[in-house]
Order: sequence, then C-alpha cells, then structure tokens
Amino acid sequence: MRNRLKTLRQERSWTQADLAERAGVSRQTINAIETGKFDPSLPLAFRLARLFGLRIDEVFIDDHASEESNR
Amino acid sequence: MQAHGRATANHHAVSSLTRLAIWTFAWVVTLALARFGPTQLWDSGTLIGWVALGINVAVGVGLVVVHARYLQSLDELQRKIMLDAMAVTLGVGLVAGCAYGAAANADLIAADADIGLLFVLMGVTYLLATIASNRRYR
Repeated sequence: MRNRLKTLRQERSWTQADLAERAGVSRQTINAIETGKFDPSLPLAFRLARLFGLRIDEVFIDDHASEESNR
Repeated sequence: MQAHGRATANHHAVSSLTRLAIWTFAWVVTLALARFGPTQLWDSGTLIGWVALGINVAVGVGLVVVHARYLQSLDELQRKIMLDAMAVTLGVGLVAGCAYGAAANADLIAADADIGLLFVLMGVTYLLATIASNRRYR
C-alpha cells in the first residue's frame, strides 16, 4: 500500500512530529508509514485522512486495486 | 494548545515507562530478598521466608499489570515492535529451554540445568530483538 502522507504533510508545512502529535502516535510511526515500512490500522488511516480533510482513498492507495483497474 | 498536547502525551509515555522501571526494580529487589534472604539474612524455613516470597509474588503480579498498561499506552507500531520482540523471546526461550533440559537429562552438560540461565538468555534476547525491531522501523 502506497500513501501520500509525506506530500500532504509538506504541503501544510508540518513536521513529522507535528503530524504525530495531531494523530496521537509517535514520530517513529509517522516515519514508518511515510517510508512504506508500516501499514497503519484502519482507524489510524481514517484519522490521518481526516486530519488532511480528505477521503481515505485519497491518502492511501491500494497497489493491487490500481493494478486490477489497469487490466 | 498543540505544544500542551504533545507535552501531555510525552509526559504520559514517560510516566508509564518510569512506573514500569520502578516496578521492575522493586520485583528484582524482592526476588533477591526471597532468594538470598534465607542464606544471608535469616534462617531458612522460617515464617519470614514465606513473607518475603509472598511480597515477591505480589510485586510480580503488580509488575505484570503495570507492563500490560504500559503496552496499552503505546501506539500501534510500538506495540507491534514489542509483540515481535516478545515472539522471538518466547521462541528462543522455548527452544533453548527444552534443549538445555534435554542436555541436562542426558548428562551432556557438567552441571544441573539452572533455570536462572534461561531467564538471562530470555532477557538478553528480548533486549536485542527490541533493538533490531526498532532499527527496522527507524
């Protein structure tokens, strides 16, 4: 699963620590999600999408779904 | 407001960890008292030995509760890191413990099996597995 977390965060001039604070998680968790090392749970993914005022599928992209739609 | 929230979250995390450290230290002290008290401080087989053992078990139960609360205070990635480390520790403990016991029964090692060595191995394994898991998600 890919995500646009880093881009969206940088557009708002937020640091990883800022986003972590807003989402109620550690900076390490935000970094791991941004670098694709960790996929967040559904509640956290929704929380992050809400923070950016976007839908969850506008922040997180399912690689398999996009592959299937391209076929 | 945001800085206040961050300070509160940090304070909560630090206080959970501090509480865990205090309970762990207390458990080690009461264990040492229950283990070495009968040979160093009082006669073995006396009531005070049972009291020391009871205190150690009570503090041990408290430590388990505090540890569970500490895990609940972590976020989902930190909890995964701990879970991975505990899984490795359990596996290593089980395999090494069974092998060590079998080796002792088969007279392959000079001394009788000492369960304390297994706890040391599990402690070191947990520490190394936590460090390795943290590095993976850095």
